Amino acid sequence: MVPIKCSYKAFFAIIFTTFTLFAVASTPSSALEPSEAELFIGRIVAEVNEIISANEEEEIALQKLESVFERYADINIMALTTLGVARRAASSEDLDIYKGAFKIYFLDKYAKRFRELKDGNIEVVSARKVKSYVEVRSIITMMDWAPFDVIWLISDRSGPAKIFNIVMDGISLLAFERTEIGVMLENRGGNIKVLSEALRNTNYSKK
Amino acid sequence: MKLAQKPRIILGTCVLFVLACCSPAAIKTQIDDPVEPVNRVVHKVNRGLDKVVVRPVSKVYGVVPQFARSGISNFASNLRIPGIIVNDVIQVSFLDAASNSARFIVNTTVGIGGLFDPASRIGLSERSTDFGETLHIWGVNEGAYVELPVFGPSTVRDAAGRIVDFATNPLNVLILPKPDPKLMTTVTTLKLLDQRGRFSELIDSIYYESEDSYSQAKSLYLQRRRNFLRTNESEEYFDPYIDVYGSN
Repeated sequence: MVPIKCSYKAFFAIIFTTFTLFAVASTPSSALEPSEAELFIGRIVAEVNEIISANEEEEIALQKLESVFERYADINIMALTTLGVARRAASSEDLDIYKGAFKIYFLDKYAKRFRELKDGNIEVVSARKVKSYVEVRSIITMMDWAPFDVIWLISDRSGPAKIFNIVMDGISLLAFERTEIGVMLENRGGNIKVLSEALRNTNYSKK
Repeated sequence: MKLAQKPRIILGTCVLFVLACCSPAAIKTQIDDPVEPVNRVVHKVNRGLDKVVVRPVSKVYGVVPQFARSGISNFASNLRIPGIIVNDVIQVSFLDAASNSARFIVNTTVGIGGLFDPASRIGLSERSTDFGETLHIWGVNEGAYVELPVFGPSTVRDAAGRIVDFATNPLNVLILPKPDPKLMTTVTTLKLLDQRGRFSELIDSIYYESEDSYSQAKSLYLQRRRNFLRTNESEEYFDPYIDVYGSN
């Protein structure tokens, strides 16, 4: 009888260990704390403020802004989610082509948008956790303009903490691009290759 | 005549009081656009108007030195404040009414009739509101999306609000018509041209570079408007990680 008892113990031990391991592994890896995210955005905002307030040549300023977004934004996830349901049926080759094209389009477009905030100053106000991501709220003040909110959404579900959406004055970048890409794809008969080609040739990405 | 006015005022106050006790309308998440075909036609006209008139004229207006344009825009904004205060009062938000009144006084005096905006520098930024928001607070729903000729995206409720705002701004009704009935329209138009020039790339990108400028203008307007009306509840955003990776 003794050996059986032992194996019961072993059995429970194994079950217990498995559950513990499973629990540890499945706790949202987002150990991302609001305070951490706030510091992260604080650094980015400092860089952005410096670029938009400096009296630099347009080209250089745009390049610097592109580099900021390239480093800190989760462009990959943005690309994938903007494809919507079409993503599921797409081949991995098409997805790669699309991701490359979206990146160029995105960086060029949003560097320009941020460049338009000339003489503006962004200030981080607060951070809070929402489900699996962190929302950092900041306020931008510009000359002759009522201050408005810029909200940064940050997640570490793709690895290191990155920005996956920016909401300016209530307008979500991701919502905008999901609509935009959705219509573009529809107008091109659902062909991702043609869509990618079009993205590379928009006004934003004339490289 | 005089006697008949009193009960009317009392009745008016009672109505306002009852309305003030209503709870705000729920903020919708979906888009209600039953007259889309009509809206699209108006959108086309607006876009044409922008292309042929507003955009080129704003470029010409851009030649005027920045300080002069800012002065006129500030002046126009200042003229709107009394109308905003009227809404603050009927919304029973006396803090905003006080802040906006202080702003109006500071900018009208120190800011030389509103040409300058010293109030913002001492923390008295404009706390904007309008009759559309008042209606929202009274529980009136947004209603259908409409694109208005010239004025652009709106909703049935906010379009109604615009008309009431125009008719109830004390400056518009009592004071401005005396020096010049067109003054308000003129400076407001110049302010809009200034904004068109200032955000020219952004507006161009929506009007002329987006795939379907009608849908984008609609979506942008509603997002921004709903965010403006959302006072306490914070929004929960779409999570692309759940879309792509699945839930946690």
